[in-house]
Amino acid sequence: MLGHWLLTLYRSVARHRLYAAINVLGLALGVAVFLVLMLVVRFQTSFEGWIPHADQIYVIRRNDPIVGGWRPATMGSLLNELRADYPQIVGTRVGGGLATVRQGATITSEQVTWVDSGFFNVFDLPLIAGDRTQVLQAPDEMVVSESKARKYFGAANPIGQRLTLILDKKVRTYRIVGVIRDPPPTTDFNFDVLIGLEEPTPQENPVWRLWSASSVATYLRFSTPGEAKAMGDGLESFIDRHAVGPFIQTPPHKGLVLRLTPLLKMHLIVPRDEAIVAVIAAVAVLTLLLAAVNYVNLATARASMRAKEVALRKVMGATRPGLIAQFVGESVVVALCGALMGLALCELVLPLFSAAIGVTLKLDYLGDPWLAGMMVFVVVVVGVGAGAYPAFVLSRFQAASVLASARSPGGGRAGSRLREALVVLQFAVAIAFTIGMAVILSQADYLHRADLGFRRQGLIQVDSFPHPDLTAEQRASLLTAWRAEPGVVAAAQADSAPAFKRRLMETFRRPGAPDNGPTVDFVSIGPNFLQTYGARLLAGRLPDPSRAADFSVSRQEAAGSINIVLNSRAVRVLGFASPRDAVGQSLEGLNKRFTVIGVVSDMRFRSPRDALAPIVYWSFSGAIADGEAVVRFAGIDTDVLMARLAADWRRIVPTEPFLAKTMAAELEPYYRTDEQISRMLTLAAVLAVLIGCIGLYGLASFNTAQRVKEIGIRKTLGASTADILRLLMGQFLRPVVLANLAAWPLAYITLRAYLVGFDQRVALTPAYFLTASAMTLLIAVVTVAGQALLVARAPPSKALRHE
Amino acid sequence: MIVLADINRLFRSDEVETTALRSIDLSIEEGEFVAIMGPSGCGKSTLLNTLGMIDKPTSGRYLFRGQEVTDLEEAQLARMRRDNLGFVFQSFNLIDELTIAENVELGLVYRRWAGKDRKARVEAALDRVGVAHRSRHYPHQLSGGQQQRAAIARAIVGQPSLILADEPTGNLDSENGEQVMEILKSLNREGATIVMVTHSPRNADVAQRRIDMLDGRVVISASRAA
Repeated sequence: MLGHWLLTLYRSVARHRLYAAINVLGLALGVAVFLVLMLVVRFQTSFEGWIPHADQIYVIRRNDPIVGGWRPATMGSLLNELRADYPQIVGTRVGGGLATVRQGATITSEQVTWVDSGFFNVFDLPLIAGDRTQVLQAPDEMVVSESKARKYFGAANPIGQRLTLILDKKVRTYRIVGVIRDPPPTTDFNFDVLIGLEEPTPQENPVWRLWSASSVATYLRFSTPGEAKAMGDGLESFIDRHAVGPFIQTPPHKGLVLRLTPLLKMHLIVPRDEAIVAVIAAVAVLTLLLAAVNYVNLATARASMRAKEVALRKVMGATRPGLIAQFVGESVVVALCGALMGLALCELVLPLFSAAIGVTLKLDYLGDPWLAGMMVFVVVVVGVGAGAYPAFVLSRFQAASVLASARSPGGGRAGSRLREALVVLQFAVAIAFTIGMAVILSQADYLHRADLGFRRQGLIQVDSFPHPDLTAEQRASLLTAWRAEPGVVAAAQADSAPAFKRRLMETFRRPGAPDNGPTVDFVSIGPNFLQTYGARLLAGRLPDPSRAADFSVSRQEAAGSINIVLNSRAVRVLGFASPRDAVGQSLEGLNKRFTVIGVVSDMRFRSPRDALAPIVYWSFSGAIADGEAVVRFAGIDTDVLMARLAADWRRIVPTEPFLAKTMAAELEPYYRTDEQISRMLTLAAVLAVLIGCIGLYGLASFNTAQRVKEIGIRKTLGASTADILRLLMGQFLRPVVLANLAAWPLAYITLRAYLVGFDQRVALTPAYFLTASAMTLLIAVVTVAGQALLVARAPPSKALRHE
Repeated sequence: MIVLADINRLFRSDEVETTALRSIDLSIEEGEFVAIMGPSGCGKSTLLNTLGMIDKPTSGRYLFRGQEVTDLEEAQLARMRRDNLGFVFQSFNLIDELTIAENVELGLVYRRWAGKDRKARVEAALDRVGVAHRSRHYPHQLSGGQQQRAAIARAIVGQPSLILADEPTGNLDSENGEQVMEILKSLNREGATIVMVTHSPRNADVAQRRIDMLDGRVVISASRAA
């Protein structure tokens, strides 16, 4: 019996090779896209899940009254204050900074994380050397990751080895007491180098005990969610009991709010990131749905042609349950083939895809029940869904009436309407994806070409320049040395640069204004800063190094009216009619008086999603605290120049490593996410259109096969090949045209929401919609043209002969 | 009207070669009613399809009203069929998805007639064969006899000069068969040339001339005394 069944299945597949290939290939493509995109979703949603008991860990977030939103950062001593009220609390503070590592003569730079001695009670990280209850108890102990241990000590046992760190101008040698396993890529933490956190004195760090400061992240661990909730609910009254000091209102909880947030939620805490992951998941599910619909559609279409087979089997004694088992079984086996092929395809494209999006993804066959679960789900749902129609509908027909009838009972008008509706659905999704792809790609391209307000080519940014250990003299000598290098056009410093974290804001007002005036970014710049970037002058003049009056020596000593430059956004925010109107006007702020001498174009130093800030540029002739340096060059190879800048650095600052990047590299992270999304969507869109075409092709070949006779009649009545072609193409393309109507509003609403997230964006013009539709229509025409032409050209006598 | 000279038709498949027509010479006059008879597989339908220009002979000449047909392009053949021919088949060959009126209208659609002119002609044709009351129904809602009469309406709606009928009564009971033959007879009286393939000697007697075929050849071509 089984043998016969397998033989029937094999014959059926072999006889309808095209049909079988279309069916399996379509499903395989859908499964592959689904798996790849779901791996991305799983990657994004599994952050910090590797940390043991991650679900018990919470981070305290504080409202940020200046920038808005919530930051996972608190004052340094919050945990101590909490302990006073909640002595049983399990918690640790985590802070970090860039340290210089000295090992013999080599100097490198390393991100160092300082934690409380109770760190391992909260983060139960696996130690591969050392005892977690013993480590980080003494101030000179250090725990490093496996890879750092290998980097510094090679194959030697790292335990007991020493490393010298220079942190905040203090040199200290640490002893390695533990090694933790390297974390997986699904983490936002950097636990490469852990050292003990030391409580600073008020002199060492005046803001450590300032309630509005953001010195560390404070993590707490609770054994039950109830305990966490109780703690979270009590934070408001806790603040009222404890918070005192500058910037604290009465009652304190009015201006200062603390929240407990589960660690597992932190990676996607920004709604936009969460939305992006949700969109990827939706695209994955839709693509699979598309393929499944395709499969079911083709299977049921063909099943109606098997009515005679069913009738004959019944005549020969087949029972209804037997027939149902046969059809469902066949369908599940074919679906299984499709799913396995999809899995293989997924494995094939995964390395390429990982490289394209910059995240290493892999299928984990043994360690992860997710994969097996997904496969079983796909096979069962698709297989049973496709097999159910022939199984339950065809097996119900009366054998005698089917055999006597010239017409196939399956399908009929309702059946073909349903199939057409499914093709509309497929193409609507495919077209919406295509429009989305076009818009997102051109947005990404636009951002790359968009005017940043300065020339990004030929600029190098020196990220080690703000290092606190550098003296003002060293900074001045570096700039002088770099300016002397051949190929260097200009070099300057300022406490603002692309990717630069710190941002100073002040209120400025026009004299006589009733209030404090708007909040404006306040940037300290050195000589030639604006010239080095190539900012465009809109009105007035730039600070002139030959005019002493344009430059202050230091902020404290500046007196009289200070010459400043505004950017064009600041002109608007401060209420001037035009850049020209602003020049020569006075401003007040920081208890000083300023005169606007010039206005420059807005320079975009941050993400294209962020609005441009209004900026006041104040020029200084002397050193700028925390200033970054930029070097403008021309006519020299970037790598060659970089090496020369590094050589100058080593000569002047032998104790610190040189860190620098090209401007393009500095800006790249702001564009990375959107490029990843556009790549993913491109993949999904191309495959969705392909799957749609496979479905359309299958349906077209099925339809034409059923209509051979009708076409013969039409030709006998005098229809020309062109008439038939028009008829068939019109019918095949109708669902595609209808799909456009469904896809347009959907794509429009989604893409408008996407583009609103950008400060700089392309216009959502009809061109995208028309082009995408024309493209899909063209692809659809090519897909069905062959079929239609074949049938339209066949001699009618052949069609009419088989009766 | 029609002259066939040394017409041959070979069918080739991968393994076998069948000769359906062997050097057929035949001429049919304007206004004639010709019946073709012979056993199954003798080439009757192939001859009819050749006359109807829906099958091309392998060799030989076919003159239709003085014009050489065998050299024509596919599109020109379609135009010839459209303008000159009407077909009636044994299995009716109505299109399931179209109503009776739409089926009949199809013959005019390909002639590029305007919509309102078509309506009147379709009604007249359906009236002529007595199924006007079923014009809004689908073929499967009609009896076999009604379907065949509708098929005849479709064949005559364009007022063709030649009507080709392939066993038009083969699927009908005798009463319905009788009615169909009556319609064909009266069409012939009104001037239409008719070529009909039939198994029934009774039907063949209606024709003025009878052609008997065997193994792809015309064996007897006899005119009945008027």
